Amino acid sequence: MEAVYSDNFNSIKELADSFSRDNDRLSRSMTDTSHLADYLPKRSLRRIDHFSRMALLAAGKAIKDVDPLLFSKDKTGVIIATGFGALKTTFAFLDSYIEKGDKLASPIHFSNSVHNAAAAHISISYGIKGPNLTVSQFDMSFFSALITAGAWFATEKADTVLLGTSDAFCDVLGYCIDKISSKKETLKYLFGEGAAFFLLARKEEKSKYGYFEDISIGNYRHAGLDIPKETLLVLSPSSIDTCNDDFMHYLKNNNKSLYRNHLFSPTDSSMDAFFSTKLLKNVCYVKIGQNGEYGRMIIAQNLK
Amino acid sequence: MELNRKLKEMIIEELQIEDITPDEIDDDMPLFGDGLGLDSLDAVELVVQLQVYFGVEIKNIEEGKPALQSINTLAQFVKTRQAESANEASS
Repeated sequence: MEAVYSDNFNSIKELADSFSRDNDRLSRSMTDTSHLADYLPKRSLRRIDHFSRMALLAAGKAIKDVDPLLFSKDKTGVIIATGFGALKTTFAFLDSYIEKGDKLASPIHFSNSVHNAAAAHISISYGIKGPNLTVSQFDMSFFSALITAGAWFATEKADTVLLGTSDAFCDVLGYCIDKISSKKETLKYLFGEGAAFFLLARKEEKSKYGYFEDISIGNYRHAGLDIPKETLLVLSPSSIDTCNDDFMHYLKNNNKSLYRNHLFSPTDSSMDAFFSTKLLKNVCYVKIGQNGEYGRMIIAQNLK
Repeated sequence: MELNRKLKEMIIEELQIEDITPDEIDDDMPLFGDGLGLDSLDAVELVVQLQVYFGVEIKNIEEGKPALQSINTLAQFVKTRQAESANEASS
């Protein structure tokens, strides 16, 4: 279990105001992936973009963190969840397409812009031979990936699953966030970027940090949402903007603790899962989308 | 030699080669395999960038294979194609 992340995007509003191409300033705020050279030969990283580098670094750290006896590369699957994919590379490809035409669009940008590029780089770079999947369901991506990992265990497709998330910031995203936030009085959260990876195993007794006790996706407006009383509730920052007053009353009336992380990304739930395992408490993490859809995960600690 | 230099700079920039300078690329060094170590994706990018930078098109593998051997063969290909285009424009 490892994560690499950056929360130093306080300047995005200013950058976005002028739609600045201040790449140097933006790059200083980006997640530092220079340590990737400690895990993979520098030459093999050529052409790999920032989005994939974050995923490769977090995955490499997660693998290093694991007892090699629990990690058979032949029986390990890879799942990456991402809300946006490699946005910066995608826009670079679109720019080359628009500016130069379809015949002269960059093949290298195209190869990195596909959402599953990062997962492919991970399997190839670390020699992992099990199934490989990329899931993109915006806010629900991480929950969907966890449910898929559960299905892989149930059907014995893999003994272990290297599951992670990656979402990256770029100047176009900063511009969009500024346009959205300018319509509101205040932006209640900041955009962060990063990657977090977990090596999941089927048996909870092998767990080093804790385990995902339950994962669910649903819509609280149709079927409600159960929060176990004994858990600490963590609600994602975007959820507070999107869920309605009735739900907030429901939470307050049920004496639920409400914690708020001010950083947002479509896959920030993986960061919360990462930090949750450092708490000595069972945690119920909930992320709520625009139309009442929710992802819920209960993370149990090894308290016994 | 100016063209050779431009080709080397283009290759380093567009193929994202971080650990080599233009001076370290020998004019006869093989671009693929044991030389500079380029691969098939680089070849496709190189074909696109030759058109962007120099306005010359490699239309098929018969043209591409001899042209993409080294900086010298690439430069010769660019010179020949540019001369052909100039002749066509003037006639």
